[in-house]
Amino acid sequence: MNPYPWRGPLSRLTGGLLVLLLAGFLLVGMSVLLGGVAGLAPRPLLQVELRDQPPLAGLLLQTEVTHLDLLTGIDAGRVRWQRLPREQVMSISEPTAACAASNAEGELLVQSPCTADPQRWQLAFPNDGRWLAGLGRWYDSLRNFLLAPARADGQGGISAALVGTFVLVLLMTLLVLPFGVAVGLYLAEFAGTTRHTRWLRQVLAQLAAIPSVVYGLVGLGLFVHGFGHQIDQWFHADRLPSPTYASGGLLWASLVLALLTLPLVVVVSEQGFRRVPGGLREASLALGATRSETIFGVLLPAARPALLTALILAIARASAEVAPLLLVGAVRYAAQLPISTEAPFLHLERPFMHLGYRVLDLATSAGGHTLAVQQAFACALALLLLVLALNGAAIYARAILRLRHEKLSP
Amino acid sequence: MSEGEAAPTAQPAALQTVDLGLQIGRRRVLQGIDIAFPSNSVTALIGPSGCGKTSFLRCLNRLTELWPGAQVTGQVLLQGMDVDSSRLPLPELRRRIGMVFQRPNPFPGSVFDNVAYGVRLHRRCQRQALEEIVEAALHSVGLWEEVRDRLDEEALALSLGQQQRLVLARALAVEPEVLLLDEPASSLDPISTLRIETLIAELKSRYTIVLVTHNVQQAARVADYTAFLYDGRLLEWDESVQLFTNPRLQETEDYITGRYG
Repeated sequence: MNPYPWRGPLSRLTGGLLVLLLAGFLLVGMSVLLGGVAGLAPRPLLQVELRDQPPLAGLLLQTEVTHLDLLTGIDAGRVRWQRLPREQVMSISEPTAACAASNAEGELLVQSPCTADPQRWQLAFPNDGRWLAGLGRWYDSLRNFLLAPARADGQGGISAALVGTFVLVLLMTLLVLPFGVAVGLYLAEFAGTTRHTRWLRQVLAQLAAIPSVVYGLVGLGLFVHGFGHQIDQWFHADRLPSPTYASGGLLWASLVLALLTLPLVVVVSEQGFRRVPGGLREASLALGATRSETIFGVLLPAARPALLTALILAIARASAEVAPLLLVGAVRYAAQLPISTEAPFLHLERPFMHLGYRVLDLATSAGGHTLAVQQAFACALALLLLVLALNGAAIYARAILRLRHEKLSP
Repeated sequence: MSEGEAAPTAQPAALQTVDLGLQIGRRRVLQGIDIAFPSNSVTALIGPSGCGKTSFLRCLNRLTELWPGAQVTGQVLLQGMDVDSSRLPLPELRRRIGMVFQRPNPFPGSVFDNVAYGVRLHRRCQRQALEEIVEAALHSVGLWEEVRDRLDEEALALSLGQQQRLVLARALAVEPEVLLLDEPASSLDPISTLRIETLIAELKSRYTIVLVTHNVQQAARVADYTAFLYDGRLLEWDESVQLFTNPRLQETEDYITGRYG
């Protein structure tokens, strides 16, 4: 046996694979980032050189194998566009001012990706060289992307999806943390290692490996059709047959996500409790504390960094999941947000919009529309930033705790 | 009873054991220990590693109950009252018998919260009263001047020696009668060790102190009485002067002169 397995040739291979994996992650991350930023930018004006015809300036709407669709202008709120067969196209380049002017009477259209409302389309030259104006249009585009109301056709701003995702993850956290930490505490402090607890740990480990869509199915069968149906019969009989809780909604979706992240939280918090030095427990008991006083006074505070780690991992896992949500409440378009300014402020039964679902929707249903794919990238970026913000808060809190607790410990 | 053992004192005992034995699983850790700790004195327990000193100490405040399979026989009497009796609930017993461990083990949290931890468990008191108790406890371990401006700092930021005195202050804050010190200086440097020893000498006017140590010189320096434990039995127990200058048993002499252990 090699006494230093981390030094052997095998580990060099593993190390290499890890580096490759990391590089892959970075590559994907960067491309999402770049794609996202590009997706938010206004469409650049292009000049297409054509065989046997004068050049055209316009916005590239769609590129297909056989043809290009070029948006060339706007007439009284109506879009003018041309389909150009591939064999006609000589080259695509930055437009010359003369061409742009001749083509659209001094003004050409730039569509902000998220408002299709013709009155609000902005007419501008995005490539006219004045970077400040370009920045302004980029800002308009960003503002529309973030704040424009969602639309039933899947277009529109992402604010509703952002709110939906945020509320969902928050609710999931509230559900999973107390329960998961309690189970972790039980396993670490009370359960010992009997055959039953070994079995329990094994089951928990296996639960983490179940594909997430299966959780979604369980949620649909058990929560939506089972519990939801029962709740409707007891409390919302007046509204039947239209379902209140017996259809997908925020509550069921967050419950499914809580179930999904439970094994993770249990395992990580159990490890956290186990790492608390035994001396602390004994010191507390020797001062006359009872077991529960020791748990609340010493164990939980000492395990806080680990609990925050569990929180971070749970958030990251939960915000990455789309598949189970498709079954239990995420929708393409929700007329109302799941939160409101009037009581009850939180509407647990409402279906909601979700960034991940929006990415999926934009990337698949728009038929290869380049604009939609770029918007999907922008949505993915927004999702990443949301996760980063949520995790950033937790990581910051943990760093502070670590600094206070562990920096100078012996 | 072994031949070298004799009750060296007629002083009233704050804490005493009667035929105390401890068994963990099938292993007999302690047996037949009869010893009394006179009030306001320091008794040192010496003996080679693994002879059961720490286990004995843990029997006194019932910390052995944390060990799975541990079984205590015989009696431990605190002011004549059996520590197992229902008239002495466990939290109250452990308040009256304070303990300091081998390694400093401050809780995560501030210096103030560490000292206040035990007090908050046992009584409700106003912030003002609590501050006074904490200050008094820190004074009595000579830590007040060093940490008075750092009460809100993390306890782990203190040096090891300070941490050990902080832990001692934490034990003192709940006003115990007996202090069990389990090799309190073994992880400290010589200067911190000296401070702890000085402290022990100061504190014995107010507390009954049981000191476990495998440092024979330390026992000779600070203890009024010394007991020699060997292989789970109490071999010799006498006034320190007597035991160190004129031990009755060959084993004791071998140990204190460093021939084994």
